[in-house]
Amino acid sequence: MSDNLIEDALGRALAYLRLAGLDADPALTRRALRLVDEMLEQGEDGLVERVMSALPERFAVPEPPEPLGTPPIHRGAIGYGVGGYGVGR
Amino acid sequence: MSLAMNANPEAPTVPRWKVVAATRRTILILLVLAQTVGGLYGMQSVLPYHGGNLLEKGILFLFAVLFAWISVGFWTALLGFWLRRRGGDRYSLVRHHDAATLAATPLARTAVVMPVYNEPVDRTLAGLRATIEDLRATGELDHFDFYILSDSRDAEQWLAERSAWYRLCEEQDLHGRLFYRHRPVNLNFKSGNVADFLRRWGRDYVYMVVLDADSVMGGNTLTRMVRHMELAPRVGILQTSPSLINAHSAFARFQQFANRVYGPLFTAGLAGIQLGEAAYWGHNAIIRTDLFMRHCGLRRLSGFGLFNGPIMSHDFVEAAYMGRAGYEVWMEPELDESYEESPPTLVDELTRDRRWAKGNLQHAWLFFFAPRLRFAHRMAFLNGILSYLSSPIWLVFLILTSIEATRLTLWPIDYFPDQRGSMFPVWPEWHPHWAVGLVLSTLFLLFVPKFLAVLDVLLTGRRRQHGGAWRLFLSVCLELLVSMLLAPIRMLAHSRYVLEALFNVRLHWGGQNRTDETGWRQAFLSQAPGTLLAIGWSGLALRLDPMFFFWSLPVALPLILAAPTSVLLSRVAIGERLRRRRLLLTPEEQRLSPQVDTIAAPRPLNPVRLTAFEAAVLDPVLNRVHRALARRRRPVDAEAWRQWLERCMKEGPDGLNRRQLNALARDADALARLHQAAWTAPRDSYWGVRVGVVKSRDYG
Repeated sequence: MSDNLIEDALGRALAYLRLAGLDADPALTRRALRLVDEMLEQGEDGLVERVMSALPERFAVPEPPEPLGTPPIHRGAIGYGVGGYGVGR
Repeated sequence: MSLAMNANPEAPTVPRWKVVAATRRTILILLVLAQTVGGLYGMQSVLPYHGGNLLEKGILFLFAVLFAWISVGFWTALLGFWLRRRGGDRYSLVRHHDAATLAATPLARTAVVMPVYNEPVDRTLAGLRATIEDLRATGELDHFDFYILSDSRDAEQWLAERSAWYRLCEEQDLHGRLFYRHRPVNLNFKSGNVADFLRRWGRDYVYMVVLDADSVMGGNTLTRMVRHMELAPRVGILQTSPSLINAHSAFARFQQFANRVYGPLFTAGLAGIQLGEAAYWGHNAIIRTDLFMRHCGLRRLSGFGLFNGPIMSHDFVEAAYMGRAGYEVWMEPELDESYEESPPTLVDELTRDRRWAKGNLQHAWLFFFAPRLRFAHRMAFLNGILSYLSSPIWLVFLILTSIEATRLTLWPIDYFPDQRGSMFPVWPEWHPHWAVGLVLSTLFLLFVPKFLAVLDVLLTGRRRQHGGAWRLFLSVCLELLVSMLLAPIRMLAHSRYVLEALFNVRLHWGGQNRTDETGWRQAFLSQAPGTLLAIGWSGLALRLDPMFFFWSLPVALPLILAAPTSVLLSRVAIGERLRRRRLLLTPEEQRLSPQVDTIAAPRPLNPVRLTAFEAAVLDPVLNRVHRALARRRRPVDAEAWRQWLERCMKEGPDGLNRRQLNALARDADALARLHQAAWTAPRDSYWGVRVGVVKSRDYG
């Protein structure tokens, strides 16, 4: 068993949860540790993948509403006022 | 209280301001003409053959143009001084309504739009943040929406903008009020970007305030502007006169000081001449959107060469079109708390001037051919054209006077310059005292406005804002010295830009540098032609006549010193040292306003240890944001897309070119797959190393 592998999986899970907006308190760390321990029972191969894919269902990762980049389009047109020689085509 | 406005747009009476403007312009034209005729007479007397040959006729013509040009500046400043001494212009728009009427006027829906193109993200959004926070302090924020309109081309840049936009929405709790639009194709530059906004959302807003990427505006100023527009339905555009702030390099601090000391006089004079037919400067202005959309669309020019294609300098043209449609454009120097920044170095200023020179010269087509423009707006075009054309005119003037000196020294005297066979010889005459008198009168026109500006500072009790009378005096002396050093360098550079524009050389603009200093190598390379020219010219002058050599020095010496001038002025350390010695001080440098404070040290909105692309892939929140705003349709070439994705998963973004990276960054599916792959990547892989960065506690 590789300590580094477990440490890496736990570190990634905690970093992900912290970036996703969860408070990285001792309780969260213990839960993440339990998740890694659980996944480890299936073997070392693919540990990181299993831990990371289990995160969303095992932790209430906040999902803020999708941002509104722009409001609904309310189409208008640009007018050219008065035309004239040499200033339009 | 309504002094001069027509509340009813159909009213047939001529507004009072139009009468006043016509009177002032007539007086200005008469004064400039009289002064130019006087100068011309003096110059004719100075020339040995009194304008009797073709060369001297050419000299006289160019002298007349240049003398008239500086004469306009002189009388404009004098009018500004007079208006300011009288406590402001009673015919200006802001004097049309009293404070109580203004305060009682309800606001209307206004969009604050900020077009950006490859700008430093944190600084740009810090300006917007400052504006938002100040508006919030007025309690009127609900009337305003904000749009960041990006034309940036690199994924790294626009992802950084969009991430910062999202963080700013979070920070200011402005989701659904602060928007970000990235235009996939930047058609017609900045004016096209604004037009794109107007076509999509212009109908949702009564007004649009246009900011530049380095703009900051006070909340009270914005609400005042909206109220003035509400009270004056014939006004299409209301322009403020932005003050320069946040200068650090010596060059920027000199510009900032000049702007704060001399600027008020010139802008007051200019506003007094233009009144309701002012120009629009492209930013820090409020625009009535329906009028703008109806009348200010910019067609491509259909002439030849430079005069064929999209209009580059759009703002003056838009003001002219607004005027042509029968609406007013005002520039109001009394609207304070309107700020922008100076380019940090001479190189950056000249880079900007290169675009402006081409854009302004394009206006010549409209000056001659656009129908029914108002006289004042044609004059604004002419003014803009001459801002750059005066440089080659000055250069040719110097060349012709050098030829004149050479001729008189090396060639035999021509006693019969008149080719029509006159029987009487003409004796060349030199009147050095007249020449000195002419030079002194030219210097008088150039420098008296500056001294009047200083006098205005003293009379209005603003000396403390510039470090006290003694420091102000020293700062003005330094500024005069630097402006004399810069004038020939600008003259030569502008002459080149005018030639480039006339030969329609294509320009590529990668956005404006707002921070970097100039290196010695860059300075020597860019200034070498001018330096060599000046050495050759002054050497020739020395060989011809020692007196001519001394006359050449005010132009030649700055060109010889151009590289060190450019490098030293770009130095932030020198700018800061001058500040510590209380030189070139401006009001905001002594008493930081909240707006200036916010941009002086912008709080970073993006993670500093990852690139924007890496953050968009790894950060769960940012990845979600970018996915939400990305397109969901399949790329045209699915196989190529799959290969780019695999390469990016394996090698990171460095393995892709700009087009490929843009394609992945715009694709929701690609971002989702990269996110998943990066978090599970082996530790020693590209993405594994980046995950290591994210794992550290100080990230983000």
